[in-house]
Amino acid sequence: MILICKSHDENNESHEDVIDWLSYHNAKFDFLSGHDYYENGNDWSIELSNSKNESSFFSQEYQSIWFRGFMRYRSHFKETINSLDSTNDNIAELRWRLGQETAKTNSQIFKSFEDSYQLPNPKSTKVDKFSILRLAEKIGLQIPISMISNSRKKLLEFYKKHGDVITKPLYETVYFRDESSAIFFKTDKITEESIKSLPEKFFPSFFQRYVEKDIELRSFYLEGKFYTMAIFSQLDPQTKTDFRNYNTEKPNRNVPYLLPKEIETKLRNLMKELNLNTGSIDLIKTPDKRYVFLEVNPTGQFGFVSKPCNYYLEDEIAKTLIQHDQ
Amino acid sequence: MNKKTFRLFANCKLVKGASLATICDLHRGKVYSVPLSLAEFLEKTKNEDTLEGIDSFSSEDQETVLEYIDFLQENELGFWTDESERFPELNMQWKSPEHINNSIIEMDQLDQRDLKKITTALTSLLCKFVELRFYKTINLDKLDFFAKNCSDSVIRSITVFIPYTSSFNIKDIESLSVKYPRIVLFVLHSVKEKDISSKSENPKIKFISKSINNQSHCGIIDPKLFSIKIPVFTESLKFNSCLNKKLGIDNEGNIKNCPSMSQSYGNIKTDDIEEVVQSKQFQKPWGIHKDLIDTCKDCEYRRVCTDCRAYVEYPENKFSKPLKCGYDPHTNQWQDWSKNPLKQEAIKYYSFHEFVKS
Ligand code: SF4
Ligand code: SF4
Repeated sequence: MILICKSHDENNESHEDVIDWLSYHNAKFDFLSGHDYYENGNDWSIELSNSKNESSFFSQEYQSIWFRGFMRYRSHFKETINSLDSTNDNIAELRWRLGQETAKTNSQIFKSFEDSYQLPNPKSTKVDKFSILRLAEKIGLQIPISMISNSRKKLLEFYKKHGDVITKPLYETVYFRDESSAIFFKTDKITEESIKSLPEKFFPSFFQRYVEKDIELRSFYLEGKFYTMAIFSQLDPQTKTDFRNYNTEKPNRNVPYLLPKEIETKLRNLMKELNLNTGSIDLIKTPDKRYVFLEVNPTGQFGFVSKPCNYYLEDEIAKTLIQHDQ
Repeated sequence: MNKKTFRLFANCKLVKGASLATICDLHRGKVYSVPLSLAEFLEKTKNEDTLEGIDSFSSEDQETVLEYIDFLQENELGFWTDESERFPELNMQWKSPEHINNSIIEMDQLDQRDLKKITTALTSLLCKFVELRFYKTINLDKLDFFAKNCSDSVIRSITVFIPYTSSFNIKDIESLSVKYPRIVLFVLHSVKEKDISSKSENPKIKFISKSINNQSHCGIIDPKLFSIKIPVFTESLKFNSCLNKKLGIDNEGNIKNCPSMSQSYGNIKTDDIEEVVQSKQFQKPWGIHKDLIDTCKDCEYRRVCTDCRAYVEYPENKFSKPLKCGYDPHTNQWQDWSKNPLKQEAIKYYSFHEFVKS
């Protein structure tokens, strides 16, 4: 049996497509979402004593796990928190603590399928970008000059020395929203003005020299194989810094691409070091033909690579899961 | 200096016809007509030095080719590169995770027992798209019953054709559209001028004056209906552009490739739908792809065009061109198919005189 692990509100076409292929190949599968094991859903326990090490988490055996996520932390104790007569500081601390508790609980839950095939291993999905860059550099990949700093002075020096600079989150690029507002953690360009508008000391942030690009590359990695796509974002100034700023009128040209073998070998080593058997890798090819590694998203999207390149990654993923479900 | 190659983007595909070629922009959904000679040139030089290739033309032609390349570049159909080996062609594989992808069902005379059989079959055949046709009668209970029985299926969308009558309460349809989000479109046909006032705000309900009171409305070939997408293009290489993975159930319960086809492979009252659908005979027409069809095989639109096997120019020939296509790939002219003197025989054969006139 295959287990699809995802947060309950995560639903997109790529998921549905993989599920369609699983059904088509007559695979048996279940879903698992953290939502169903916290304030809602089934009874469960994980027991440990000198004589006992027992988990009642699953009544089934799952050989093959597709890990796409588990839960979003925001939803716990919503009403309690809203009704708390307390300072914002306390509430923030409470939320953070709850987040830590859930993370620890989840890692015990994940233990129940530790011996199964996992695509990818949830333990490997929480790495920060800076650590990955460190590793990539060690392996011999080119990386953008990077810095974490809290200092306007340091940032200005960095900017003077390297010219164009961008900032992005160390963890995930995300946005979240409610009725009144949306919050982005995204890639953005740093200008001299924006530096001047900063206080002398600020929240430690991640900066990178902007890498001139000929083309952007997205490579979906699956069990040793690369499915690479070139994005011609340069044709369109609207998407120059980050192609996620879509232009819907004239979408970027996306075409299949073949990475040089030696780059693939290094990336394969990197994925091995990170204990990842799948992930979405971002690279840039510079006008002087260097390949610069940017980041890996272990549970990144793949539909946007699969469709324009006709790779049928949805079926490849389904087949990989089935193959390990023996 | 490195060789510089002008390449079309991999999802902008050349298709050569008898006297013109097209570039099918499968990413942005557009088709461009280009001269055959340009298509041949682009094919020949796709891994060569383009400028060197141009040298082989006369100086007058050289200018034209360069102008065309500028045009292609401006429209973002191609790009210059000195690493053309890094840009592979789009692979041409096609597959889809359904045993039946879409289904057309004539509802007027089917009863609940029939509908139950159909929904059960569509569920296990993993069917995604369904078209339900009411030609003359309207029975919303049947529709409700059908939709309810699809709840375990992977059906993504249901489109319903319903004849408009004055006794009709639009509220009933509106509530069905809320109850079953899978029903994405209600087309109310045969709407008279005087009924126009009773329109609905609901975007899922459409009114048309045309009457869809039998099968013969289907099969029109029109560039507006071309679907310029990778899966359509790749499917057309090996499979029929209309009937592949299609299932039709007609008013009498006959199991067909589509309700308009004359051949029946069984009847839902006596036969098992899944068994029939999985038979070799049933799937035979699936393989009639455009390169096997007269005239279409010479047409530069054959990879994005729809097809029709039910209404063809020469009804005895299963490889005959769709009747309701007015295009001639040899002269590159679009004409009104229904006025073409050569097609009158076939029009009489299918006896849709009345339809053509209206
Ligand atoms: S074969 Fe012709 S009549 Fe039948 S569904 Fe296709 S287009 Fe319509
Ligand atoms: S000849 Fe007509 S039906 Fe055939 S491919 Fe061309 S446009 Fe389509």
